[in-house]
Amino acid sequence: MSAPLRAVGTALPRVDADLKVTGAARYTVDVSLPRMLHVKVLRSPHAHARLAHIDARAAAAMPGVAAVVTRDDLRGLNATYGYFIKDQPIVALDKVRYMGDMVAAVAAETEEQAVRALERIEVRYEPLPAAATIEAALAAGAPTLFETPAPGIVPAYGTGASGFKDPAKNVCYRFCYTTGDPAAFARADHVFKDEFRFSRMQHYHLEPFVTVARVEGGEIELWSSCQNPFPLRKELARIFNHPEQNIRVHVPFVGAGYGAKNNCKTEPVAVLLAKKSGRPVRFCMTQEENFLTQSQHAAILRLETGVTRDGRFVARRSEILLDAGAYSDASPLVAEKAGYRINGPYRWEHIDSRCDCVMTNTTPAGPFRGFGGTQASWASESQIDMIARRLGLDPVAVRKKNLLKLGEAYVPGESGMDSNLAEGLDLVCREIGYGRGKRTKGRGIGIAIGFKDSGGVNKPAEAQVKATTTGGIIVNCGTVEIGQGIQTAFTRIVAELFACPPARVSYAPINTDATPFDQGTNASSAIVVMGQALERAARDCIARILDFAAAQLRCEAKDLRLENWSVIKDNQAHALAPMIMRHFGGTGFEFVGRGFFKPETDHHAPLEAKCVSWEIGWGAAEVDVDEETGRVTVCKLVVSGDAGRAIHKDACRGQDEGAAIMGLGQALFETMRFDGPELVNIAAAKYRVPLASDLPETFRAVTQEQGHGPGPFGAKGMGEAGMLPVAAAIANAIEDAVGVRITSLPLSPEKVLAALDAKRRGPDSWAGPDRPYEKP
Amino acid sequence: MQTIFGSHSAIAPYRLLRPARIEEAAAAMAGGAACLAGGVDLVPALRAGRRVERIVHLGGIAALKAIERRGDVLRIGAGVTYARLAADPAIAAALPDLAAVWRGVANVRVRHAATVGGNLMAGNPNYDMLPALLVLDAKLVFVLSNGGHESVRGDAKAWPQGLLACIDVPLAPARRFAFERGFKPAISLAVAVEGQRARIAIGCAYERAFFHAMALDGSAPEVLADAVARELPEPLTDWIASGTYRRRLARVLLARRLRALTGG
Amino acid sequence: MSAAVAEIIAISLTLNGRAHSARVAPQMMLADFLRDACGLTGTKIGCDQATCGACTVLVDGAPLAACATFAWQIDGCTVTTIEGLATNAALDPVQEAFKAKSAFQCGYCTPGMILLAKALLAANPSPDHAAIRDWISANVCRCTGYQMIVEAVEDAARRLREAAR
Repeated sequence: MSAPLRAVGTALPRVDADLKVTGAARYTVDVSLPRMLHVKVLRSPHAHARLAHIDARAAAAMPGVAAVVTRDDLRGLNATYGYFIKDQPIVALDKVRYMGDMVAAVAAETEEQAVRALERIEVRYEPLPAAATIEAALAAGAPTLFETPAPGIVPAYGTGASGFKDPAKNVCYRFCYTTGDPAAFARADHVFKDEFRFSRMQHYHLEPFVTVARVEGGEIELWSSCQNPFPLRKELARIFNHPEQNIRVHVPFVGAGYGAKNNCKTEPVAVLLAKKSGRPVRFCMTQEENFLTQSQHAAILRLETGVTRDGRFVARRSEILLDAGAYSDASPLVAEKAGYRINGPYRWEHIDSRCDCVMTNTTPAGPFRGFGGTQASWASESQIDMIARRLGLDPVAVRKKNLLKLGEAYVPGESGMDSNLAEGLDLVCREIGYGRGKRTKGRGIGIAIGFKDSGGVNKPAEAQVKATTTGGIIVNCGTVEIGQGIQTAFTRIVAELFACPPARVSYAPINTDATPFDQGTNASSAIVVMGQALERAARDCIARILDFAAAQLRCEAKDLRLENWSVIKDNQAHALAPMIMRHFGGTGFEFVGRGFFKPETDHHAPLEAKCVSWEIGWGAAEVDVDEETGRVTVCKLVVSGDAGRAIHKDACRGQDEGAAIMGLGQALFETMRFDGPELVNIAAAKYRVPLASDLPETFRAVTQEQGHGPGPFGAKGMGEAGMLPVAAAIANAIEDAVGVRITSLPLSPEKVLAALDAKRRGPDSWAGPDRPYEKP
Repeated sequence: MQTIFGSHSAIAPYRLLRPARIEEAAAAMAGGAACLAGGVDLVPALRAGRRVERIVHLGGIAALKAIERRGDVLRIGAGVTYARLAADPAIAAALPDLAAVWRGVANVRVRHAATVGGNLMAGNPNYDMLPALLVLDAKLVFVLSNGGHESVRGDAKAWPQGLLACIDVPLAPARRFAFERGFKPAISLAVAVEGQRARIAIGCAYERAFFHAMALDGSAPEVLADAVARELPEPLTDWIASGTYRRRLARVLLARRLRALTGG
Repeated sequence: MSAAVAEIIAISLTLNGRAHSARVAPQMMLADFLRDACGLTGTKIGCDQATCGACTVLVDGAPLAACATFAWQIDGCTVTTIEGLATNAALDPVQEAFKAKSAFQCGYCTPGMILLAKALLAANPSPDHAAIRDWISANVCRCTGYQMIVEAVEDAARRLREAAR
């Protein structure tokens, strides 16, 4: 890192710029095969019902129809899928469990013909009572979603952590973590109990869930808008009892995912119909169907926090209930992370956390940017401010008192913080003007620190770097370009290591036959996990080249270095291309380097491996509250992430800003609204996402480069951090402005006004979840 | 709950009629054809599964796009787009407040496609044209299938069966007009003040815009607004907002607008 | 009655600077006409409800949602898609600005956003921040948080003004 960098950190445009600004970038929606059919599906109008009868014969006879599938077509297959728990059927088997559950599918020459055919499918449902909310699902006498438990696993955990499958009715998974002595609570001067509610968003990725599949000659080949092609291939092999070597997944550019595009969505139905029809099929969901396929987790979070009177954190007991929706999907993994991250980057004597995945008759919830960290940061960072105010202390000072230091382990057995937390806190305080300037009525400032680990759990990754005769470098790895700029980052890293211009390095398209294994583009893991594998691959390739050159030049490899496709020996450059052709012949050769990375398995670490990295999002908001209408205007929003080392500064800034505005939407207005089990704002015009007009008047994202990351050149993952602190920072700012505390999202004007009314009437009149707290 | 989700590619075939005269369009509509100008509302309905045999395209009827001053009335064709409503010199001269409001309605894509008539005939309580026209005391002029004309005010119980051809907006130099759109979709509010009279209309909060005329008796705007808000019929309670909150917003926003318009 | 009744409609238009004629079914959407019949897949379908603006194209210079406009509606019009901006492999100044400012991530909204910006700069060569925010709020970008797009549009305006001098 001492030598000046010439590719990493430069202001060169992203490598995908030309393709994306000209419309030439190819996505799965653009894939079209000869004789391709179009798929449409029939969905359940009931939230919970027994599927008494289904007859698709009339549909099969409709014009243009090539194949219809119902549960009758699942015989002989492993018809259910999921991450830890295999509970979601390809199409409904005995029951439907939410409004929108897939019941049947048709492949026809045109979408219109597929729709006409679906209308002819006869279905008889026997409706069952539905559980639309966490409370309803946990109530005595609640309907049971799964009468017999679905098959699944509980992974191995290390010190202090444990997992339980089906621990209670309608709870598919429970994660627990505990450390330290519960007696610590006795050393606290105060114990504060607070409850927080988190509402769920839809990912709103613009490219829908889409797959083009063909099954020909015993080979399944698909193009999918997907974040994790290798686990997808494995799941399809299991479902269809099909050899993995005969399944090929291509992933073109992905029109974003924000977590949604992991594992099976459109793929099983597409493969089933391609198989049955013998023709290629395209299954592209509509946006409404995206809404009916996957969402974030709504949550109830109950925190019991013991502190000393001078604001030192002592102990915390947490109970988190995640609304998993109708199928488990990634909920057990989200529960792990929500339960593990709930304590924030602070020092505690005792922690006791429990997180349950509660099954409800609503859209299945799955991975979403922040992955449990958003829910945890919302509750924890709100409560820290509440506690500081109750104790008459400054919320920033209380945080500082308890923040983990650089290098300090998160919990026993865990890795140390790889960011200086106080440094980031000072930065956002300075940017927002915390503690400066005189107060204006209705205006307030709030601060929060969002927190999660990054790098996934125990995640392996492998990369390959090839160098051609003339010094063309090809990066081959499974990290999907989903918008984050990973093609740019990885090719710049490799260019830096090869000491060559970035234009010499290209990024190979992803195809599971040829691309080395990767677990998935998620968990902000690309830079810190695949990045390490890639660095090793590049160094391996360079070592092979230098070994070759050393043999040619009759010297030792250690006396050589690579620069711009020459080897430098004693300040003299020897061009590699002629050297290669002299040895290998005129057609040349390719040097191939491989690199592997996986965190070490470690039973002392709670999650069986130490977290690779820690992702911190510092946030600060200044709000103006209209006390007559309850409207909150965010006048100024500052977020900051630590990229460790910014491989591409604009890409880093874009991650922080995009994440922050997603957080702003969640804080103020964006939410999936259910009327009972029915999603009512399913249409694009009703579901409000942030637009440019929603930007705060002043909006700053500051990319820190603290240099402590485990990735190449000190880099860290940072795609999620910007979202984590925003909602709590705004809620904290509202209390600073007008003295009311809102503990449920979104922070709607109606809710704020109700709290203001109650405050004006006095604390006795306060009712509902946003009650003010008593001062001790 | 919809069980099949179509798409723009799954719209059923239909026959397209492209008349050049209003009367032909009105006759076709009387025969059951759907009409399309900007397509802002019809296309989503077709996508959601509505079947129509025939669609009458209104875009080729020049008469629907006319804007003309007739003495103290400005006649605006139903086929005038929002973009023109916001930018047309005749409207800017005669109804500058209305033109200014329409510069911010919806978004630029919609403003180029959507028409005055489409907005009114969609019957969507969240749309802004009806509340605006109610406070401007405009008349809606329909062409009937027999070729006759009939005009009504926006708050008429029933509108004629026919094709909306134009709207007649009376011009009143002393009238001041304002439109509050900042709290949509919970509520919208149109206010026109002329001398000692005010006309208000509330959108988004009822199945159909609520209209009210009131005297400005010299009381403070807050007092006047409070009295109006108390007497409002119960606003909708839905997933967007409660009736209680909508009533509250009506009071606050009306007071603010009255104060601004009366220079208070 | 002069109204034409047709199962298949003949249309002619200027598409990306070239005269073009075609026969389309009444129900065919402009988006499918461009993507499937003309192979211009830069026009993307996002929400498919004319709300997100990923399918924005310019029709006689005005931004329009191709997912909710029938192909026959553009008969006689001049249509510009993202493929029509770059000439002789040289990017349009708006494309250059989006590239230079990295005003995209996944790229799915980018063609629509660039065309939307083109229309703004044609109407207003020197928009301020507020005018840019207001105008581009027609389209959704879920990735960037918009700020870098606003800066790119500002940069594009500067490039266009300099080119015009």
